Amino acid sequence: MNRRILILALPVLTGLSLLAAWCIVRVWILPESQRFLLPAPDAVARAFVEKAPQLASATASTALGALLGFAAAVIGSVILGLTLSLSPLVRAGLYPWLMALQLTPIIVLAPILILWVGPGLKSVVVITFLISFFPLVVNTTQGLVSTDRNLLDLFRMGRASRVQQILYLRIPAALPYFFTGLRIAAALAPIGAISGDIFAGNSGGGEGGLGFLAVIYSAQFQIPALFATAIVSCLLGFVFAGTVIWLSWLALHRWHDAYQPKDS
Amino acid sequence: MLRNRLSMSVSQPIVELQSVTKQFGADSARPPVLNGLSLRVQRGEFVSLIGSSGCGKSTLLRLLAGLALPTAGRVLIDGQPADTTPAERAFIFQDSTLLPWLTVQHNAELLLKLRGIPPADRRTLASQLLILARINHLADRYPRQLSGGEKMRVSLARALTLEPSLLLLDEPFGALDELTREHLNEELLVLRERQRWTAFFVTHSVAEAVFLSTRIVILASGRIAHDLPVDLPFPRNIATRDDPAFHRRVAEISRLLRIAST
Repeated sequence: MNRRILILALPVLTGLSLLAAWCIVRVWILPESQRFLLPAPDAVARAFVEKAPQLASATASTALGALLGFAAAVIGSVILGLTLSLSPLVRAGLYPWLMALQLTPIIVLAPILILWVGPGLKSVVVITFLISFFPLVVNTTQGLVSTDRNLLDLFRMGRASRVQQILYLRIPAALPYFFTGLRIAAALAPIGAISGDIFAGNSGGGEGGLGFLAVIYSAQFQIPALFATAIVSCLLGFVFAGTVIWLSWLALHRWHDAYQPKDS
Repeated sequence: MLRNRLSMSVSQPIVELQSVTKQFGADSARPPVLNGLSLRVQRGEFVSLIGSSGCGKSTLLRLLAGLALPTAGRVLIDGQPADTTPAERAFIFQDSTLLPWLTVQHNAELLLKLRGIPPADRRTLASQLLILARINHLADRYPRQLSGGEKMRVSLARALTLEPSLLLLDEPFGALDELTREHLNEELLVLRERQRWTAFFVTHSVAEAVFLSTRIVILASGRIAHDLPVDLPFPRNIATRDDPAFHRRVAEISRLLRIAST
């Protein structure tokens, strides 16, 4: 019980120490002329309140872009993963190109994509999709082809059809791998959406996302507001990652060893 | 009807191996795993296959299961090639091969589900076998919550749901502790009283082979070195293990196995 309290208290303590360090650096180390680089915590808090309407609408816009791109990546990767799992030849033909796509920095592709699909939400969704797609497809495929050989023999002996083998064996056996990919992708999706927004954020209707907001605040030298934007982006990341960790727990905790209680 | 089946069992063995050779890899540099092996097994026999590692025991089981094809010769079950025969067979692996995401009950129903048997029927059938395997009180558990012996009981129950005529067991109790193993040996024989399947049992333990079998085949370098009957009376139980005749047979077969494997 004490240990549990400690485990909850330690991160809070770390946070408070960092906050204290921040104040110390600001007040005692930075010369007065540079203090603006590290705004006081209360200035950041004020910026939060002041910019709340802008931050809220930007967060909504980024969250929507991230969610749509992420959802598209999940659907796309499951379909592609199933296709890739069908044969080693299909994998041989497609894998190098998937690698090429992954290794091309999206930042470089962004301007091209914006020319293709236009600025705004559409580009944000496409960029998010591209960033979260790769870990999902790789893990899903790996899961689908890593089925235990004895289990495959069991299904052969049971005269299972190909469809039964996929539905009752390969897919459930791939779930832990799929969720590993999903966790990585969920952490990447908001980053993708915000990076996309930096390039493609829609200035016209004033409906840009967090990336677009960061560009504006940086141009206007509103440093406390930039910090506020960073904090909101971080929270959005937590919401995405947390939701997926919860979903993964729901799907796996009853049977998967990773969730095995230590005392049994 | 009964006479018909009896006469059939005399005229046609359930398993017939005709000069079976199995070679892995295309070239003949490596010696074949099975080398011109012939064997006839009648319905109801319990055959244990023993021999040192690499003697071809497991390969023989896979051929019987239709999971692999012989390089030369024929593997016949009820007179038909093993890979196309409709004869119902069940394979029991050393690993219990339960699906970790299914409860014990659903694991036991798996083979019935693959055959498209309606949910109500498969529930009843699987439950009956879980009761026979004395594991029905754990029906709602997941495999990770079971001991090794419990998992193997579920695996056995599942294998028997389709009422196989041939049961293929590949060192099923090899990973279990001695006591659990002896318990499961006894219960396997109890299950055999209920469903008269024919069994092929691969093991490293001579004592286990003698306790369970009506016949022991010693394999060495892909050939049958010895084909020995075990005529200890049934039912066999704890008393059998104290029987001097049992110990004599174990000692004798251990000696033959040692000679054959060198």
